[in-house]
Amino acid sequence: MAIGSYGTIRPSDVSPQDVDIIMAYTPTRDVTDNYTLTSLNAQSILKPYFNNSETGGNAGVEVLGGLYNLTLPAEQFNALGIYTLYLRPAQIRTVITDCGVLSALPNVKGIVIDLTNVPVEYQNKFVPQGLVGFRVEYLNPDGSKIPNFFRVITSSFFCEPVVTNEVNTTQKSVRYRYVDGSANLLFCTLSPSSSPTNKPNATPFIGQPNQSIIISNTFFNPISIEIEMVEYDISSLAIALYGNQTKSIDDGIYTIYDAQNNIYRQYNLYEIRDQFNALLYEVRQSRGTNIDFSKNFTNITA
Amino acid sequence: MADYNFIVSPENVERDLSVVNSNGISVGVYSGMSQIVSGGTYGTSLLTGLTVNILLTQSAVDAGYYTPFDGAVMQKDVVSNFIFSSTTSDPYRVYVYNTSSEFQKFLDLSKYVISWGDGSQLQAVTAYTPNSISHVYPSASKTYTITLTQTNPWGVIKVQKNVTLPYSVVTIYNQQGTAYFTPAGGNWFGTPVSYDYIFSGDAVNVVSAQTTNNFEQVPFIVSGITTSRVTELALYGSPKYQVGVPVIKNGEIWGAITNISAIYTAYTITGINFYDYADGTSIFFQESSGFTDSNLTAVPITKLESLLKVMDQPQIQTDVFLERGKNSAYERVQRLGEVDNLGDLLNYGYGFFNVQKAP
Repeated sequence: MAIGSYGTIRPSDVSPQDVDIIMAYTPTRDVTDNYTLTSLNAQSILKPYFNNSETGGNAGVEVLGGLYNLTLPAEQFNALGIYTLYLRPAQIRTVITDCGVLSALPNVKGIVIDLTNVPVEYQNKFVPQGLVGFRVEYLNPDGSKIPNFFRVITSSFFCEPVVTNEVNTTQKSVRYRYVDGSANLLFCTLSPSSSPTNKPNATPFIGQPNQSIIISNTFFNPISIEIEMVEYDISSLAIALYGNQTKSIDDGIYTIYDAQNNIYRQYNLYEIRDQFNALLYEVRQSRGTNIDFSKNFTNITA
Repeated sequence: MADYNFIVSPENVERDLSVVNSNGISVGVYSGMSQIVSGGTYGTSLLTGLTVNILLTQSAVDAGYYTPFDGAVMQKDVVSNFIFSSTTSDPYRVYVYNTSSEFQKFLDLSKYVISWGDGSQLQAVTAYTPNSISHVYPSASKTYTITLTQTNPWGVIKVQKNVTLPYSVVTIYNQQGTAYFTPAGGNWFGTPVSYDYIFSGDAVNVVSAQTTNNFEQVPFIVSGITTSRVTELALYGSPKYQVGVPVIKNGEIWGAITNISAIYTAYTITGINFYDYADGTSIFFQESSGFTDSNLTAVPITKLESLLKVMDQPQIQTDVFLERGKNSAYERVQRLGEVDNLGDLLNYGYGFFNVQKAP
């Protein structure tokens, strides 16, 4: 019987450095095959909120947690259409240097990663216990990703190899032992890596030497954001119906204003008659960007 | 379905409208969104400050239950063993650590002697790891066999390991070592029996390797209010409380009163300073250094895969107990789980169960 319960969802305080942002754009919903996929720089457009004197934390220093402000760059969001942003944990791509066991604890298996194969911007994660909770995903030799398969790093420590003699002289059995201080090799234990008790020889796959892997943090849950840039929304209709309007009798310019009396749309009103001066059409033609600014509401009603 | 949906239209971005000066009057102008996203210089977007707020959450799952299973089990089996080390700066000096079990009662009468394998005199070993003894070998490239001999009332155990000098790189040629046991009696009297060790003792197992050893170099004060404990320092007879007279408890100094005045009574119990004031309040002061070596026990840990996401060890709850005799004060009650067949029930039941064979 449980003695209590606890929540598992917490506001994330992930650094933008640990976030990847992928953007997919399609102009309309019915041509979704015609999309463009690009990557945005999370460090420049994703900003965490910080506490201030009102929220109770250390103002300007302590991250609020959970709430982030995402800038939509003008150079990317420059057309009507549907923009889908995909925020996922940053991916660290590297290769497995070796797979081995600990010298002192041979039943503890793990993978060994050489820091020189890790992108410089992520090397600060490769420290003792710095990768705990990170997820490892694997690539096939042809570059494709092994689907539906991952392992979780349960510990990471610097290590160095220890050579042991084997009866089989063609096999080099290298074990690893932990070392203090910095080294270039990191021994990561993974879960699951132990055999089930009902089949002890079925060792779970944790990778193989020289295999490409993707290491990603689990600091936050991936999300998607859809941003729809539309020509009009329902407020536009309200402006057209209920907004202030003027009609200049002299030149026939018909102007519609929004709630703040900005010029929302301007039209030319005129009639078309035949040679006998009989009225054929009444026309309302948009002036587009050819706005007559003298028709601003303040001028007219002053 | 996306986690968030935002609709951006001219009406909710009017802060970025194009503003035109018409005869000294600023006139805001806009039309549809396509005009706004292309109305800037060279057709650029006017929306230079468009932002949205989002919530990022983390579904945190505990990484499982850790237990000192592996290291502890291997250590329990160690009757006699040693490890050795050296340094590249002094490659002919070898340090030997006696890792034999120090706390096994049946090994209390053991004596240890080490042979360095270079013809030097045998050397008695009286200390256990982390203490070590060292020996300097002649300056020559050679392999020596170090032998640790443990003599106990039940026989003689010899553990031999080879060391190749000068010490250069970490290459253990006989990493596990071999133990020889010569029984003192019985059918195997005088016949050495050998087996390999599986514990090499080379894991980093010191507090300095832990990540939680951040103790303060300069102790800080921990203080607070409490209830008076001065009665623990009461003496027999009269006067009941005396300044400077230590109170002994369990053979050790428990504390003493340091000052009695009209304002407060000051006293010390187990190193903690207390002050009882006349208004009935009591305060205490004690220095702390946070986590230190003395309150951290370094043991290797490993993770039980089957207990991923489990926050505590599973417990078997049963309300059926079986008394199986009085072998000792602590074995009176055993769980029924140990009795898994009829034969056990008869043996351990001690007649409590009346089992009859079916006709």
